[in-house]
Amino acid sequence: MNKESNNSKIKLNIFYFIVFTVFIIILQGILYNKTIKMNSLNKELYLVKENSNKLFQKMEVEGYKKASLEFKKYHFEDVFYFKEAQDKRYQFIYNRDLVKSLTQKKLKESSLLDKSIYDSCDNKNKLSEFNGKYILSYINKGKCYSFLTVKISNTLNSGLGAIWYLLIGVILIMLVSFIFIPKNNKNRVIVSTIILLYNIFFFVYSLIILGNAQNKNIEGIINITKSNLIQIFIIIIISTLLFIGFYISKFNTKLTNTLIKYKTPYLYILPGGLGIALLSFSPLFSGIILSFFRVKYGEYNFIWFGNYYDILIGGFKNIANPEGFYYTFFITVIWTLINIFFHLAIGMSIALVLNKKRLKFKKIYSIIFIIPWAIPNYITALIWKSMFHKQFGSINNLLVFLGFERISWFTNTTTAFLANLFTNIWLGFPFMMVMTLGALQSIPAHLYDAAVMDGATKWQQFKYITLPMLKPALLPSIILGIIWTFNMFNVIYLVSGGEPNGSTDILITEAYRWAFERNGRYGYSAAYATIIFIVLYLYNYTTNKISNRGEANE
Amino acid sequence: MKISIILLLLAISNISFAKSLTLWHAYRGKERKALEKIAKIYEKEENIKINLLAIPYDAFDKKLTASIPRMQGPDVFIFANDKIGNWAESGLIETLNYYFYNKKRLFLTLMFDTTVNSMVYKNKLYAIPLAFKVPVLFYNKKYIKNPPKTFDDLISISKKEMLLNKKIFGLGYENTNFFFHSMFYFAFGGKLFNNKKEVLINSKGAMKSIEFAKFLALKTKIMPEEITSAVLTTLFNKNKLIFVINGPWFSAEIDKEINYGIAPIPDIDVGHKAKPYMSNEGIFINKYSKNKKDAIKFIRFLAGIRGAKIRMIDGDQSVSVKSLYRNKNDERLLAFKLQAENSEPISNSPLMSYFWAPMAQSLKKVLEQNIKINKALNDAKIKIEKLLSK
Repeated sequence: MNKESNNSKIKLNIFYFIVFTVFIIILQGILYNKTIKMNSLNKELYLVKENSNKLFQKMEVEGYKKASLEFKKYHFEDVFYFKEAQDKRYQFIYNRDLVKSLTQKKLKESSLLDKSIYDSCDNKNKLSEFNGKYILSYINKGKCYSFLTVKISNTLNSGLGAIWYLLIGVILIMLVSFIFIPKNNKNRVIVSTIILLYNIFFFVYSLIILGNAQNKNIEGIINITKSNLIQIFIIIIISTLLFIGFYISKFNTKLTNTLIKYKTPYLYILPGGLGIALLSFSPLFSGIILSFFRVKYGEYNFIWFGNYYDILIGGFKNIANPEGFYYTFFITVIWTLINIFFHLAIGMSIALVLNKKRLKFKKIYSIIFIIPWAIPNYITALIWKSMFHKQFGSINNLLVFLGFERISWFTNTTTAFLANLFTNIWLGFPFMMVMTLGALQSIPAHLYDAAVMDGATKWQQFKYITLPMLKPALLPSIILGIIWTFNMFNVIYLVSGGEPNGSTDILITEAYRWAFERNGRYGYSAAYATIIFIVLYLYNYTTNKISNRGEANE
Repeated sequence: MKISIILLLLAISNISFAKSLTLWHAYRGKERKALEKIAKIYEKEENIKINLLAIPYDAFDKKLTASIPRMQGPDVFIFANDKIGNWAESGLIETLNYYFYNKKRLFLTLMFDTTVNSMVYKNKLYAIPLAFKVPVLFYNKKYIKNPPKTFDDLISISKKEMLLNKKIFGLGYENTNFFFHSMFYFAFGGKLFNNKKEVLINSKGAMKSIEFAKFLALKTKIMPEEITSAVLTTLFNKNKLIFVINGPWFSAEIDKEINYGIAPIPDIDVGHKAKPYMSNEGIFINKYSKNKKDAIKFIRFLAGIRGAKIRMIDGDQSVSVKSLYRNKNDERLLAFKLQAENSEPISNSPLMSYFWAPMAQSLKKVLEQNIKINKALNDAKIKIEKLLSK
C-alpha cells in the first residue's frame, strides 16, 4: 500500500513539473518576442518616425529652439540645417558648436559626417548611421533638416535584456526541480534529461537569435559586442555543468555507478565522444532548432511549429500535388522498397554464383562487379544521365537499333522514375553482393553436406539453410541500404533532376531545393530534414523491436 | 647574435605598407592574373597594399553575409549584381551616390548605361560595373562567311545546309534555361514582376516569346533535342552545329581547329530585336569598411580606362567602359558592344531568385511535354505567388 501511494505521489510530481516547464517555455517565448521588439532603440525610432511629421511641422511653426526640446524627449540631440543650392548640392550650415565637439578630435570624420547627412537627406525620413549614432532627416521646401541621436551603446543592454528573461527561466526551472526532486532514480534521469535538452535548446536558440541580430540592418536590432555574448555563454555552460554535477553526485543508479567505477575507459573514449558530440550531435540539434524558425530574406523569426504545420497539414490539403510532402513521401517509400528489392535479388544471386568453389576467374568477376560501387556515384549519375538523352543517348540508340522508337525519358514520370531506378540498381547491388559473400563464408559447409544426404533440392537448401543463416548478417546491411536509398540525393538530383515538374523528387531533394533554390528558406528545409530523421528513426526503432522480439521467441 | 640578425632581416623584409585594402573576388585563370597585375601597378603608384583573396563562386555570398556583420569582411569585393537586393536589405553594402556626385558623376558616363543601371537598387547606386556577360551568336565559318541579320535568314541558311548534310544541325541554344530564353522574352516586351510584388509572367509578350521558341524548337527542325551545354560544346566542336547562341564563356570551350566567328544575335523580325539577359559584375564597398576613401580611389583605377584596358586585353573580359569598343574591325568587340546596347540587365531585386526554376519548368513543359503555353505560364505564376507569400 505504501509503495503504491509513493508511486502515485511521484507521478503527480512529474506531471506538475512538466506542466511547469512547458508554462515557463511559453512564457519566455512571449516575453522574448515582446522585449526584443519593444525594449530597444527600435521602439523610440519607430515612434519618432511615426510622429516626425508632426515634430517637424512644429519646428516650422514654433521655431527651431522650442521644437528641439521636443526632439530631446526622443533622444535626438541636435539639428543641422542644410540648404539645397541650385546645382543640387547640399550646402551645410552647421550648428557650429556641435560640429566642433564631434569632429574636433578626429578631423577625417567631418567628411564621413558629410556623407551620412547626405545619405540621410537623400533617404527622405530614413535613418543613416554615423559613428554609432543615427541621423534622421526631414526635407521641406528645399531645406533638409537632420537630427542626431544618442549613442547606441546605451540601449545595448535593453536589447539584450530579453536574453536575461530566458536565463532567469533556466535558473527558475532548476530551482523548482530541486523542490520537486523525485525520490525515484529513474525519474531523476527523466528530469535531468529534460533540463539538459532545455539548456541545449536555449543555447542554440540564443546563438541563432544573437547571430541573426548582427545581420539586421540599422533599423533593426543593434550590434552586439563580443563580451556580452561570451558572458551569456559562460553562464549557460557553468549552470548546465553545475546542474549535471549536482544530479550525478546524488545518483545511485547503475549509470552513475558504472561511470565512476570504470572511470579510465570512459576517459579514453571521451575525446572520441566529444568529437561525435561536436560533429554529429551539434549539427543535428542546430538543425532541429533551426526548423522552428522561419528564414526569409536572411531574417530569422521564431514560429514554433509553423514549418511543420505548413509541411504536414498544409500538404494534406492538396495531397496529389507533386511538390507536397505526402506525394514526395510516397515516391520516396516506393523508390526505397523497389531499389532494395532489386539490390538484394541481384546482389544475392551474384554472390551465390561467385561462392561456388570451382568457378574460374573468380577474382576478375569480383573486381568487375565492385566497379559500380567503387566509382564515385556523382560521376556515374552524370554519365547515366547522358545515356538517357533522347537524341544522342546510347540507350535510345540501342532501342532504335533493336527496332523500337526513341523514348523521351524525362518528360514522363514513369520513365524518369525508371531511369533513376536503373541507375541506382546498377550503383547499389555491389554492396549487397559483398555483404552476402561475407555472410556466405560463415555458413558451415557440413550443413549442406547433411542436406544433400537427406535428399534436399537446391531450392530447399537455399530456403532452409542459406536464407536463415544469412538473415542476421544481412539485416544490418538492409537497414543501412534502406537509409542510404531513402536519402540518395545524387542519383535523383543528377539523373532526373526531379523531372518532370518535380514529380520524381524524393524528400531529401525537396529539402535541398527549399534551402538553395528558393532563396534560402533554411527553416523550412531544416523542418523537412528533421521529418526525414524522425521517419527513419521510427523505422529503425520498429525493426529493432521486431527483430529483438523475434530473437527472444527463438 | 645570429638569431638577432636573422630576426632583423626578417623584420626588414616584411616592411608592411602603412595602409592596406582587402579585396575579395571569385576570379580564376586569366581574369585573376589580370586583377593581380592591376593590383601590383596600383600598389607601386599609390603606396598602398592590396590584399587579394580568391573565394569560390558558390560560397561567396554565404561568406560575405557571415563575415561582414561581424566586422571580418573585406574593404571591397567583386561579384555579380544579382544579390544586390538581398545585401542592400541586410545593410551590408555602402551606397555610392555620394562619391559619384556632380562632377564625379562623369566617371559613370564612361560605362554603358545598362551596366550602371544594373547596379542601382531602389534609386541607390551600390557598385561600379566592371564587366558584363551577354549571350551572342557563334557561327561556324566552315558553313557560312557572313552572319545572318535576322532569324529568317538563319533558318533558311540552316535548312539549306542541313539538306546537303543530314548529320548536322542548324541552331543550338539552351532553350529550357530562362537566361537564354530571355532574348525572346524581353524582345516581345515580357515582364517578370513590378514594384508591388505582382507576378506578370502571363502577359502577351511572354506568350509570344514562348511561341517563337516553340516554333524554333519543334517546327523548323533545325535544333537538336534536349539541349544542354555539353551537347552544344560537343556538336560545335565536331562541326555538326552551324549556329550557337551562348555566353562569352563558350569561347573557352571551343577547340582550336574550329574556325568560328562572333556576331550579335539576329533580329527576331522587323519590329523586334533580340534582348538577352546581361549578367553584370561590379565592385562593391563593405558598409563597415574603415578605408572607404582609399577604396573609392582604387575603384576609380580598376573600373576606369586604365584598369579596363588591362582587364580586357589580359583578362579577356568584356569590360563596361564604352570607349574601348571603338575598333570596328574587331568582330568580337563589335558584337559585344552592339549586344550590350540591346540587352536587359538581370534584376537585382531579391524577388528574382524565385523566378528561375518555375520559368525553366514552364519552358520545359511547353517545349518537351507539349503542354499549352497559357497553362504552363499560369501554373508557374501560381507557384511563384505561393513562394512570395509564404
